[in-house]
Amino acid sequence: MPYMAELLRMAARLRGDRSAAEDLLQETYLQAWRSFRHFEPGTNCRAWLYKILMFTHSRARRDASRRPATTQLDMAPESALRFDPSTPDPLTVESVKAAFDTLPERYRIAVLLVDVEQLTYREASEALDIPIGTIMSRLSRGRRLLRLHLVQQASAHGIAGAANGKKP
Amino acid sequence: MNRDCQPIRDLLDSYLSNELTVESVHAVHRHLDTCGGCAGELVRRERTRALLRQAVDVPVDVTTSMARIAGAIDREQRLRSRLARYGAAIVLLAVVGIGLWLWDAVDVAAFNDSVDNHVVCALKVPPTAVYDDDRAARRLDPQYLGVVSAMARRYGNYDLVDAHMCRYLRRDYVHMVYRAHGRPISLFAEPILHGALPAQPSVTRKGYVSVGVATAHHHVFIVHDQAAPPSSDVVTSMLDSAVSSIRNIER
Repeated sequence: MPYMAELLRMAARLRGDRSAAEDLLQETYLQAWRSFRHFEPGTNCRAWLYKILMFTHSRARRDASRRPATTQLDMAPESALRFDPSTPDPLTVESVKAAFDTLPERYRIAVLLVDVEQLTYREASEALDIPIGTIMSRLSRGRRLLRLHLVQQASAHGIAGAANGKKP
Repeated sequence: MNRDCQPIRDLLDSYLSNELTVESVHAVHRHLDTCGGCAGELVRRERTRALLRQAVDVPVDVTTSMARIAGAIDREQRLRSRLARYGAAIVLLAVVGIGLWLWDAVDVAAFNDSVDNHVVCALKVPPTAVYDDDRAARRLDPQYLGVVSAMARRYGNYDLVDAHMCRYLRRDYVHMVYRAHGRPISLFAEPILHGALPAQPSVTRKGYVSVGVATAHHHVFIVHDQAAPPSSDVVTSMLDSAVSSIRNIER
């Protein structure tokens, strides 16, 4: 079973709980086994598995909430997205984690797939079943918001180099 | 940061993701060679990614998951194989069950068979035939000997000329043939194995009238020529005798 370790990591990041992550992984591979006849040899198996993982995750969340998924775009004000600050320094694992956790889920997942799991833009677009332009847009916004939150944290802690970005 | 920096900074993340075209990569390199601010920003973004990977890193052990998934696939495989094996049998049983249920509800062929078989059979009895106890005993199933012997040899001007077992379309009948002036009356009974009689008590088919009644375990029919019917007294007394003698053997 290929890519199991990285898919389990991704599942754990999505679910935040080991047992729930294992459930998600099991459902993903079971679904892949069931629909293996639809997989075209020579195409990207990794992206295909990620696609099943993301679909299974979304479906489970929809079932749990009993309401359709809603967009979280509003959570990122346009003014914030136009502001592209420089990355503050120094950074810690904790500060990066705190900033990352504030991202709206759609941006967080795009950043996870590309910057953490190192999927290509095309693989990420296939995994999320969205156009490649959309994944690029989400990445751009997610990365900017991440930098913005890091700058805000640094400013709050009085770090001098935090405000060297371009103001809107 | 000068005005040339922002377009390059917009490319830095894609540069780190190795998603730029060759031309864009060269443009980034040319700019970084001369711009310490953007070179520093590239280093900080790279470091941010590394820290992010650490921040969201989850130690995983796939051993348990692998066993769970293999078990789940195995269970589903076994279920599918069982379904495939028994699916056809279940469908077949359902069809047969529904068929039997429908078949048991009403014996739709009862009257048709009574006319189709027994008229032909009665007409085959030779015109000169006379009823013979020994011949009848050889041709009747033992349980029906009492039925035939309890019947009168003559009703009106109809004489008993033959008695035998008829096997027709997997049905077993005891068949008595009475005749007057060459016109036969068939009186016969069969165990109830194919459901109840249809609601109507009689049917006319191919020029013959068939009347049927049910006892506890038998259907009893009388069939006569429609063109030259016997008197109703003959029909009634013949049918009454047959029903009571059948009831005697059912007790």
